[in-house]
Amino acid sequence: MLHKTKVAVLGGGMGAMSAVYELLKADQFAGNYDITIYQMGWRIGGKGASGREKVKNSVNPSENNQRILEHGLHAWFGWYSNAFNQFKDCYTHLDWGPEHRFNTWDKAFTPEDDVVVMENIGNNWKGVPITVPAIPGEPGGHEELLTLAEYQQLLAQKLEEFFFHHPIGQKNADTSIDKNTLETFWETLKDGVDWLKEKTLHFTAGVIIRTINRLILENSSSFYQPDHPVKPQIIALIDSFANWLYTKFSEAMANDWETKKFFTLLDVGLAVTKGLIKDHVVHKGLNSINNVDFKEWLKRHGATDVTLNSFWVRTVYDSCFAYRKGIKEYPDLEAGVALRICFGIAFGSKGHWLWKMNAGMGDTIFSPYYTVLKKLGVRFEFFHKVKALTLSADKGSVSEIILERQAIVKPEYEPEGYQPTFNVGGVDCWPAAPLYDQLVEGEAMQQLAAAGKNVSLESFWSEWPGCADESKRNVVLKKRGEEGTGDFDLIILNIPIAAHIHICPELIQQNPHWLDSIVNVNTNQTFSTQLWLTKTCEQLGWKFKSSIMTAFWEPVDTFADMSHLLQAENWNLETGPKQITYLVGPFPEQPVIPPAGQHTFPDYMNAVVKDVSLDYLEKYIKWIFPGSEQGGQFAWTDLLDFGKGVGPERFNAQYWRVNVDPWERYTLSTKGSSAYRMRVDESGYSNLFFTGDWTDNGVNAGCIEACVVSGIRCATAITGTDIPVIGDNGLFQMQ
Amino acid sequence: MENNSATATKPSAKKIAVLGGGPAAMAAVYYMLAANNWDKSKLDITVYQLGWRLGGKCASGRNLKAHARVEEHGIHFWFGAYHNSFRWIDDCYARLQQTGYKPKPWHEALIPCPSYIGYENLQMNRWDAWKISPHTWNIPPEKNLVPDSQHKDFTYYLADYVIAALKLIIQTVEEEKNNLVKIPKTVAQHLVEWLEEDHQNNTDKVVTRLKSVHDQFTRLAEINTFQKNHPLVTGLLNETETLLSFIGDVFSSYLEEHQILRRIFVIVDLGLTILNGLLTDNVFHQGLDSLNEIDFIQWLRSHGASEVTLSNTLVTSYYDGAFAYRDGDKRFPNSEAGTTLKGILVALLTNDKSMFFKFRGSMAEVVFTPYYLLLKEFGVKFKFFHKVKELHVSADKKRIDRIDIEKQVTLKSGDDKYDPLVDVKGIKCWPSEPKYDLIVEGEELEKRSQAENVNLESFWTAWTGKETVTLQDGKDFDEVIFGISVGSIPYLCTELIEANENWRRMVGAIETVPTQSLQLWTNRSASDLGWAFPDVSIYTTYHEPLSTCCMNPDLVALEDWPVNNTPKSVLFFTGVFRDAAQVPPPGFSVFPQYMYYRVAGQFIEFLVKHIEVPFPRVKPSRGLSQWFNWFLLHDSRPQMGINRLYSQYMRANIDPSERYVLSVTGSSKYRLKTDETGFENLYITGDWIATPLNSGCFEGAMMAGIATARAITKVPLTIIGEYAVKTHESE
Repeated sequence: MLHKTKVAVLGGGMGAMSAVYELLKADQFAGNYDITIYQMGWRIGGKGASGREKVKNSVNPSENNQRILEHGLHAWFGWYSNAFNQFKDCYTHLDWGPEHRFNTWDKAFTPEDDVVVMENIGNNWKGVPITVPAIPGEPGGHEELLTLAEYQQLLAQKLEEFFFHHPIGQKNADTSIDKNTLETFWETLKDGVDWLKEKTLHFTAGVIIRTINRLILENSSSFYQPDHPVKPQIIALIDSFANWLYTKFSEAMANDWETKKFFTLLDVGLAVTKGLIKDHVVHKGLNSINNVDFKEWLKRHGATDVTLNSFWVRTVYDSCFAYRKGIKEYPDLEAGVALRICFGIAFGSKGHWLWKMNAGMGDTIFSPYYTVLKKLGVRFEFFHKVKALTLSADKGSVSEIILERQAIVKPEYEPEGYQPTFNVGGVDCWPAAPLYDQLVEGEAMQQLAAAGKNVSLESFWSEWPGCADESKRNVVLKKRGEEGTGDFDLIILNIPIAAHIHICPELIQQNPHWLDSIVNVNTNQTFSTQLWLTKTCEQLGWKFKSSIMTAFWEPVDTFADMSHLLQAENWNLETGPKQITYLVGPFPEQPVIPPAGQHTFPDYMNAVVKDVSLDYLEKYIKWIFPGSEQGGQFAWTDLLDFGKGVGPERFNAQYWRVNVDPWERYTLSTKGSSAYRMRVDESGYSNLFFTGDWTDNGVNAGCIEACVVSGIRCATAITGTDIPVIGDNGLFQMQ
Repeated sequence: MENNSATATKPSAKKIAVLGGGPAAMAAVYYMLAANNWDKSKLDITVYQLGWRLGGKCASGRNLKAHARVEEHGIHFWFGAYHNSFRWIDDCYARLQQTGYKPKPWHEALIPCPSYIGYENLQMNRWDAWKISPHTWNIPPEKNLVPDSQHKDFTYYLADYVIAALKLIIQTVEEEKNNLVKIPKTVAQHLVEWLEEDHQNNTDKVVTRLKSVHDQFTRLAEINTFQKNHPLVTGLLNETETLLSFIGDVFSSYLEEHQILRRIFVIVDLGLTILNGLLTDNVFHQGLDSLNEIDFIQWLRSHGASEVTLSNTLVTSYYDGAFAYRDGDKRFPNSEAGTTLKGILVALLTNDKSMFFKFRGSMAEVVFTPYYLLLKEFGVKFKFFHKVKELHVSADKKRIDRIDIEKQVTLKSGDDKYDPLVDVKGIKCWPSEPKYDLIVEGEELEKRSQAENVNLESFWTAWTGKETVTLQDGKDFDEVIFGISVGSIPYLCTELIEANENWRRMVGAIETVPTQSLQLWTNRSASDLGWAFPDVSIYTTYHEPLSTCCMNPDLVALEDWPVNNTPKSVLFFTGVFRDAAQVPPPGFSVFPQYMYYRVAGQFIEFLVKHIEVPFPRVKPSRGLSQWFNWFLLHDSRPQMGINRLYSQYMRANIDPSERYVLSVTGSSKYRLKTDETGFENLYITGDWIATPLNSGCFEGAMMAGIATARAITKVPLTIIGEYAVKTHESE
């Protein structure tokens, strides 16, 4: 007799949602899988979990202001085809009417076309607005991404266009290039391309860059051959152009901002082009250069130090918190992963380069997933914290999952069980704390928390002992045996890599590949500060069209204007805030991450975040909000505080956090780490599969797209059905 | 033997529990006894030591299964400027006579190494060996070293140091200049002889201007004026700027190819940039510590040092020596500028007889055997196999209330009767494994050690303790000396961290780093391996992962090799080790083995690809240039190929307490002094506490230990260099 395959999913982050959805879809929703998701605490979403918190509004006590508290700033890039496709697909299962604010997928997002990047000039910071080009249409869709050869061509083409469109380029298109620098070039010309020699008697800057583009375009197939003669020719041209560029502008750019921008963009673009050709990347794939850090790689291929420290490069690092241990002096990012991100954004953005969510990430993304998966028969077991996985006697599979039941639902809420969401203005929202009323332990939890104890159900350092009924604390799930009894056939492990050493040391120690991953895949701490301000962006002096700014002072390197959430948070537009600011960045971590017994550790780290945030408000926010400065100081009254705090006290009414738990740490792509990542089916145990951005999934960066792609690969591995991943033709190709 | 230790202590004696038996803890115990005139009745001291041996990071072991060879944590040098350490060893060896153990005089155990090779890394992966012989002074240890009675700090003497350094620079440039003449000329060079003459003329100008800088600075020092805006200071800064741009103009094109010009350039650039920086940043008034928020290299860069200088061995040798790379990653050098500069000035300008001293045998035998025998003689109780688990704070948070200690094994003869030493050729040594026959569980321990990690020193050991004992305040101890390294604190002192913000900030600021080391017993002498400098046995700043090497042919004679099969030399290599992304919790017992294979893999790559530069004759034969001749490695068994490497000694120092203590930017100000713990009965000691040096080294630990002894006994013991070390004038 055929019976359903029982799947235990550990952790409810995006990787889990994706894997489960794809699994059901591959099964054509035929009901052959019996799936349970075990989730610690009261909410799903992992690093993307968000929560609503009611604000005590002394001005209008009757108002139901439900502010959003996030792990950090989340946004979807327009090039995330797999993520958008799955999300849209998920929506086809929803029959939400107009009473739901987000009844179609596109209502969940607000697009963004620009970005402001910050450049440090002397003691001043200057914002530079950049419009990111996008392909018309909407994100997702089933056409493949470009191949690496096509990205390479596009880059050369865009560099040429940039040069000829830029006033400095136009002015210099006819300046001739020093003959000496061309000597090497002539050498390589011996075997052909005579037409070039004839047509380019005047070796001007314009001719050279045009020739580079043309040679790349006309020889597109040659890049799949390691030793095609055109390669050294192009490299010689790039070298001569780069020399010209440096000689001509290195002094001028010290004082002229526009020249610097012109120089650095061409310099970085040419270094990338040269690197692609020299390292045969089109032929060998992006992973082949992941043993080098992006900056090192650019430098190796001729980028100057000015360029390496320019916002072009810093932006790439900032976009993925790529600072080891969260320390600004430790930029570390695999070159292949960096190019993946750059190509995706620069040439693959669909509709708009960035899509911000119109409520909390939990409300916007995880509510639809939760609703759909529940509807499709998936069970959610909240308040189940994984403590350990036990190895079978033959060491070939996982025999037991041991969980701690953190809380028990009051009898009156059975048999439906815990209801995790509630409605705010037509959106299913997740609370920032458990809905205590539904829990037997609700009151005790609140009391302990009020007494300053760390009883967070999501904290690694929590002193919460588990549910009140001690006999029910320990939950043991058993692998189903041949006789048919047991709780699971397969496990999908979505809990992130930094938590593995705490839950499955035995499994790791049996599998050297897993141990390799533990030792080599770095994660870091990030922080997030959210401010509710009493002035609009305009009043605060923000002078850009864009709502996103990055490459600023570390660690507070990224800012987002999130004022579009005012409605979602249910504010009275008269008395409520006028602007919402999110600040995020990597956060320097402690030399030793303390053991679980140091319960006060998260509070301490939060206090450090507060100090840094205050420092930022006092010294740096003026560079983005000049209007917030009053008599040379930050105007604290700009911070909304119904409690009428004075001066810096008003900050206490804002929200700040550090993502310090092992499962909250951001997955990095430090130099050489991709080689040590594990694929979804490489656990070494027959009934254990992985999903999450920390796997070797082809994206290998910490982002929603990596989560979704890993979920697809996980479903492929489990079902044996080859579910396509968009990008497998080049950008996400796995060697 | 004059005393019987069991009966000597009075019941009223102060009970002191010493946690950990590393250099600082031993110094503290030694000087507590010294402060009490070696009257053992006044103090009741017990040392609790994990595993079977003392020494901390300096512990070493004789491998009795491999010809009693010496197995160290890494290379240990003493600098000639370790005045407290030399003062101690002199005193200790004199007292040792009372114990009946008579090792050779310490002068024979510490070998002066006046020169070392610093590898300059040039473009195209070329390496140039620079033989550096720092000037040495010849001062009797105590002379001029006693702190000034007015408690003047180091900054007071900074100008004197700078003057002495300028003299050295002039002297060195003149020496290099003479080399310029000595270069034998090829025909081609004769053609450009005018160029060489040019170089000589330019170098002459450099010397003249340097002398002027020296004279001008001396004048400033005389009138004690260093303010930036003072006309004399402005004049001097102009002079240094002029000289720096002059060398930039005339030498910069030759830096890659012309060894001597490069070296002159680097010396002058480095020296004058430092001088510039000191004046510009007002350091003569604000003190060196004011520079500790910035890394030394960054500081030099901010004052205009050339990139050639910054990557030169003169700068990087400090970083390699102090393992000063965050996370163990060579890409991220980091060392506080003030701490670094002080370290360099003290090492360079106060060294006695030699810049470096290396140990003839193992450091544990030269230092910890005497400590052990002497202290035991004076009534100190040593409890080996006692692993500290946790310190508990009293309810009022003012004292250490209890200490949980795990007894790792059961000793057949009782807790403090374990004899840790073995005799090898008349030397009392520490074995590399416990003496199983003295342990009840010895057989099990030995058997299991073949197959799994039951190493009693390992943080991740699979061995479980036999009993936990709890020491009580007032009953088992009156005072506690915490001598375990800072890397362990988060695991042992949760209550202290939660009770006291200073502790939290300290563990949040002080970083540590894993290191790795390799010992090769070779079938050929260093010179037969192609080492080109017969009078030099140390090199540094070579290729990672093993940037530093010490050749120790004398060690073989102290080991127990068969006459017909004795290695010719022992080569010690060491370097920083890239930290793991995650440090697993205790119980993760395969981790050390995994890390061992990780270092082994790096060593293989190093031997195959890189060792050829210092040791050119290591390739098997023609056609096998991509390989290493494994038969050069001594092996008692007839093994082939790479297996011979696994018969050598390789080590990853990854335990929290073994990790090397760094002085990363902005960390020194969070170090606590020995008595600043915030708990009445707790003293900390180690190279990680606030000392006059604030850097990870034996001398720092020695200073810390003396400070601890002083704080507990209230006897005004002197620490040389606490306020100032001023010796360079006694030339």
